[in-house]
Amino acid sequence: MRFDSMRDRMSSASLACIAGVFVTQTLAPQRDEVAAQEAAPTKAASTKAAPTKAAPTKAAPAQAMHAPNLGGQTSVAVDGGHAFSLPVPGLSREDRRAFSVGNSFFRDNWVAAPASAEGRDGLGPHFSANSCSACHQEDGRGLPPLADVGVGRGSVLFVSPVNADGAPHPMYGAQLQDQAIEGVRPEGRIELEPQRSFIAFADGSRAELERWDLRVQDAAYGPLGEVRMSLRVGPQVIGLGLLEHVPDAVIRELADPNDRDGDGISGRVHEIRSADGRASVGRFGWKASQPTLDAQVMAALHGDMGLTNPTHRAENHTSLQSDAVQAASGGDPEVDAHKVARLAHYCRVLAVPMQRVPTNSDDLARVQRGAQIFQAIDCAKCHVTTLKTDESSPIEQLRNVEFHPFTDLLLHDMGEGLADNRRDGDASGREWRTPPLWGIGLIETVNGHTRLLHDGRARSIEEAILWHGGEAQRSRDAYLALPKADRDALLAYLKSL
Amino acid sequence: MSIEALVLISGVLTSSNFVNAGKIASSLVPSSRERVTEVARETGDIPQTLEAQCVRAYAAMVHDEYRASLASAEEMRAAIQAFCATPTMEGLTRARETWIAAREIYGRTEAFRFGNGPIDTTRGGTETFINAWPVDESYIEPEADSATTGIIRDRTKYPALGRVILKLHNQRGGETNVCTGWHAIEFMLWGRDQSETGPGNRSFTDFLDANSPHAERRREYLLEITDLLCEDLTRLVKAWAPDADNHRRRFEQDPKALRAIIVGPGLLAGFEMSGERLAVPLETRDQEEEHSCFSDTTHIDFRANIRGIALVLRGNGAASMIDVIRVKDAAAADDLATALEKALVAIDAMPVPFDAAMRKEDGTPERQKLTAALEAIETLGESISRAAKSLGVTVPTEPQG
Repeated sequence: MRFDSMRDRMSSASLACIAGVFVTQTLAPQRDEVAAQEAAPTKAASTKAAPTKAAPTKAAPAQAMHAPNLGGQTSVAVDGGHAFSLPVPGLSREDRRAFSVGNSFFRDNWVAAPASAEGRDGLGPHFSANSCSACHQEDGRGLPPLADVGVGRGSVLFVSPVNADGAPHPMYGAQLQDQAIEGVRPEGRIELEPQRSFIAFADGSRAELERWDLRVQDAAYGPLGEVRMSLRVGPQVIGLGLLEHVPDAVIRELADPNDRDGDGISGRVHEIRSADGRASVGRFGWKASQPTLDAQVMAALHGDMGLTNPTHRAENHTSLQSDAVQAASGGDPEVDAHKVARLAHYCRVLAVPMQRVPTNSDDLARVQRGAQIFQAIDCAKCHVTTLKTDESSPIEQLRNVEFHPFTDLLLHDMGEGLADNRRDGDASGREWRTPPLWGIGLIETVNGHTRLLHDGRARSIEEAILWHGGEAQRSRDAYLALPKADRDALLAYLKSL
Repeated sequence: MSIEALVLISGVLTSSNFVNAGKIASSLVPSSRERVTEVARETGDIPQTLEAQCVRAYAAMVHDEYRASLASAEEMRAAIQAFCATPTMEGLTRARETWIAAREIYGRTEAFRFGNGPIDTTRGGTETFINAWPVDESYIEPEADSATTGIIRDRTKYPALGRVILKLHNQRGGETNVCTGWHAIEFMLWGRDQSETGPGNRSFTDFLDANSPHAERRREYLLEITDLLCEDLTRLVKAWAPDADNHRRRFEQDPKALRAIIVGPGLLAGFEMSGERLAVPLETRDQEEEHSCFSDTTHIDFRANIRGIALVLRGNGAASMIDVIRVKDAAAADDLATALEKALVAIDAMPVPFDAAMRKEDGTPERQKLTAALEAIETLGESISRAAKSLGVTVPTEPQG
């Protein structure tokens, strides 16, 4: 599509810069510096030195780690409040129409049955959101249910009894919904009590981290007992049709479950067994629990909105919840295969915005420096910069596309700090799928907040970095050891994505 | 979702250059001379290039259109104020008439969207408050008499109905949770459309204290969102006023101004009209997806939108966008002019009311006319994309190849 135009617009120098070329000589002394800082973390004065002197613009146009076209030739040059809402370019009329129809099902509120809006009823009886757009407003990222946010704006809560190995709660089911249709009680009220802590950088400065104690109040169907809870926000819905068609073999190749290369990073495929016993690679959701977009859409319709569909035929309440059992149905299923296909199509073709390349030379140098650091401190070992689709996508434009998602789609042990300690399929309570980083710099523009991580606890990109533990502990520690200018460079780079 | 895009430009457009009066650029097509001279007389200088003349003429036209829109909205406000002071059937009828008239004028201005102008400033932009759609009306007030939820009835959640509060709650927790703008006012004036043949038939007694415990809140809410709409339109008029330190001044000097102009019609035709507003109701047959579904004036929306597009492309007779394109690519300009003409004809032939027509079986004359309109608008969107290419501008509706 418009690469020629993009190239015209940018100088060839800036293209080379943004390519994030990793130059070993430039970074080698910095790694020594990092080691020195780790040895003496309190000696702030000694930490301002060589690293910032690196001259990344000298980088030869060697191997490009990524490029401004994060979604390959399917990227869109778009900024502003609807940055996540454009389809990939070049769609046929038929695919464009299907996109618009899918958008309407994604955007519009579902209502309780029976209703005059026949095609859109069946909500609940319990639900966490009454539309997809509630949690993915403007196709972007949702918010946790903090006191000033309110319910139904971006998160869902999974619950399991403490010793049940991830099994659904016998009374409340797998998810606890904090809203209900008229005549049915919401299952409970989710209360977050923020807790603050501090973490120190090698240079002596500190960062504040927020997390929270999570409680369910007003449990409507009796006490929950001791439970494992997992709060999860809706991420931006871009580039999913690319991730969907990375061949299983490629993802398996990235995995290193026994850490044979000894880099401290393993990475495990979330193997999903379908009803017919076929194994497939889980790739969607915070735990990579869903192998396809259709499966992801149907799980969300059912678990988050209480809408039955071809895969989930039973309502999302348990038989013990008598008021919910009596609620009217919106049909069997409430969302039919055609609507599911439209929704999946919509999610499949939402395009990835291009990286925003600074035009100012200082900013450009900073972003370029950040790209180098991203490689140097091994962020890219999990946030893999380049993947490629095969020929299997139903959408012609999405076939054989090389793109830059910054994920390996694998599960990683992220340490105690992020653990929800609740098994989810084959994923342990410490494992999370590497989330793609494309678009993270636009969340603030689209959604008016900068909250990240599975439960939205991080208030900024930096807080999210600082929560990394487990397999990512070494990278986190390396970040703590960086001089401020380099930390800022890394953040500037991430914001440009 | 409504679509707003920044579109690539490859740098072929030069900055607008303005020189003193008297120098009319040689590239000017003869028919445009008169209008440009007129502009020059007003402003004291004359744009040097055809592109710059086009940008100037566009800015003046946008200002005129928003002014007309504000004036008609203020007439509507006067009618709504009169109705709320003394709710009568006649008062409600008058308010509805003024809404339809004002809505038609506003509809033309939708062709000025998508260019990152004042109407679509990034987050929480003016357009979101003026024209968000579709409306889940139960967010404003549920249907059942017994219901206690929604903005009008839930006094715990919404104790006050001030503008700041309403803006805060607009599209909160879902994109159809709309509580401001044209379609919220439309819902208040017509109510739900449960008729096969006509629009919603809300009774004026909904606004009489003697008849409904919610009447006072309804009046308060309706007055507030009407004020808010006028306030937002006033801001748009100011942003495009001549001789001020405002968006217009920067726009007239912006080398990317032509891009902003062409993207509006491109996305309005290529996405909003053809996709959101036509492909969706044609497939779902869902009345909620009809654009002005409470008042059954959807056909007027389409007619106004396409006339707005025609205004932008054909201009006011001088240095039009089509003139600019013709210099670069005559075939693209001809193709665009033809596509526009066909879309105008197809839209004017759309059956009324829209909701009854869209629910008909496939193959009926009504459905065929709606499908013909859809295809004509899609063709127009694609023609605009091709024409834009000659300006070095990419509109994301461009078909592959």
